[in-house]
Amino acid sequence: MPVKKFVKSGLKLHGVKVKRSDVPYIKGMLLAVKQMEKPLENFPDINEKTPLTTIDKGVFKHD
Amino acid sequence: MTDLAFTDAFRLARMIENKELSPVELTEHMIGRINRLNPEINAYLSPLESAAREQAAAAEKEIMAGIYKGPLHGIPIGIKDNYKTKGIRTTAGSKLLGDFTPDINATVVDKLSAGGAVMLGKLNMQPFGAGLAGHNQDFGAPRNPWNKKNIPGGSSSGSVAALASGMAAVVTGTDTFGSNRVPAAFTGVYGLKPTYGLVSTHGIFPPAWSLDTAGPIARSVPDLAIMLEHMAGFDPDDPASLRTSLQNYMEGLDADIRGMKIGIPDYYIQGLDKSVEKLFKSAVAILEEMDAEVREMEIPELSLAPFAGFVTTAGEAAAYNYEGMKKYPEAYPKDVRVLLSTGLLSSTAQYEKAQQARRKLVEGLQKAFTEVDVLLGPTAPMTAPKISSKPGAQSLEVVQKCTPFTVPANLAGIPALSVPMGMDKKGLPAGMQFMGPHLSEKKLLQLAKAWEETGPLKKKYGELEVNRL
Repeated sequence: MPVKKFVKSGLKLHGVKVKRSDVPYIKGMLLAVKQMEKPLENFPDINEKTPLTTIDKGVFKHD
Repeated sequence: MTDLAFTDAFRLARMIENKELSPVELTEHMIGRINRLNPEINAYLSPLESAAREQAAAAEKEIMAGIYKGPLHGIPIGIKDNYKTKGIRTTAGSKLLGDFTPDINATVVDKLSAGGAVMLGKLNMQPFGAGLAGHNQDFGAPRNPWNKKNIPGGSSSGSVAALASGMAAVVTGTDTFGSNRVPAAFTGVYGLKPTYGLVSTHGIFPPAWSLDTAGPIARSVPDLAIMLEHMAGFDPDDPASLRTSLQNYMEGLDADIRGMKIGIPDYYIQGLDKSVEKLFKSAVAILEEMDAEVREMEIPELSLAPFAGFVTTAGEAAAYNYEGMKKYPEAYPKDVRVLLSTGLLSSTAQYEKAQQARRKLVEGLQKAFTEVDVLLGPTAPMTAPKISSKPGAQSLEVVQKCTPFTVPANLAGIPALSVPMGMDKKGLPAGMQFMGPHLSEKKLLQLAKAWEETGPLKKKYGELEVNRL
């Protein structure tokens, strides 16, 4: 599906009114995120990692 | 009296403690400056003249009666407007909240009040903390006191504008993906993002729960230390609050930094504007002259930070604003609406992938901290750009350029302290940041204090044209 169509239908599905002038910017951000995703490929073990939870004191070493 | 506006809070505190300076006189001086300068700088959304006068009078009475509460007693401060203040309008920088008047104080506000601070007012900010440029289409953006044609940085835009124009001695800010550090860098002040959970975020509007931190911004390192000492501490009302012993951050600030191991990740020296690159090289040379052991190092996991940072911020912010976006999308400024829309359209799978990347990043940084004491990099790849006629687009651009530099510390929950590193040819300040392991604030403050003594800013705040009024 073209990204612009995805933006419009996706926001509509969430019940958010789509402002046409926003669409190119949202599209740009979504494509930028896809670019940012690329370095994940350099870490083949990433799927072995448990996702960090919202409040995860286990990883915050202190005292 | 003009110099009082730019005198460090710790020096003002000594004068107040020794009864050489009256908190009432000091507060009146600051109110006078706010009345003169704020219409142009727009740092304060809600100045609180009468409340400040009452608090200053109470502080003076206590001090004269021999009840001195400590180094914030009688010191005029500003509070970022995403901190809830009981009975005082709190906007989070947006008209969407109308005249919302909380019935509680944020925990930090209570703590600062208990220390005897005088609240001068609520400070302007980028709406909901969702940006790094400092634009505000609802209330107007604060101006950068170094050049009013340039952005101040955000989201703690009013906080830094007030400091650099001498309208507050110290201020509070929040930092979710760089909101204390980027504006500090753009205006030549010191901004601290503490360890996640060290300072309570209870009663503060959240852009993104798992990244949010509250922290101080100041014109000197000792002032940061004083503020952190008052702001930090366990809070049962904040589920993320750390149970950790309180530290005296002022003590040992002058510690010797010789032999301190400083690592510069190669990630941080890519994509810099020429002027920032030059200033950074000079700063590194100075640190080496100070006998710090500086070396470049690779932390490949840092490359995961832009993805993890963006997806986490946009996703959590979209969750918090879900109802608002459905009911009043037009009430959000364009840049915030675009960010939230991107969060709404990102998938749960992407969010979880971001949290996996985040754990990987934490591991990479923990490994690095077995080799060095502190990591160093520029706070932002540029100095403050000129205010654009398209604030929404500029805001998104600044987020995309600066977030990779600042968000790693938020993702890993580690402290990061931005210090001025010099000025570019246009006379605009640039910043660099020290990052350390969890709860290494004291070490960062010691290093920053040693750096501060090299006099990185060649011009004094009081010499700025805007401050001569």
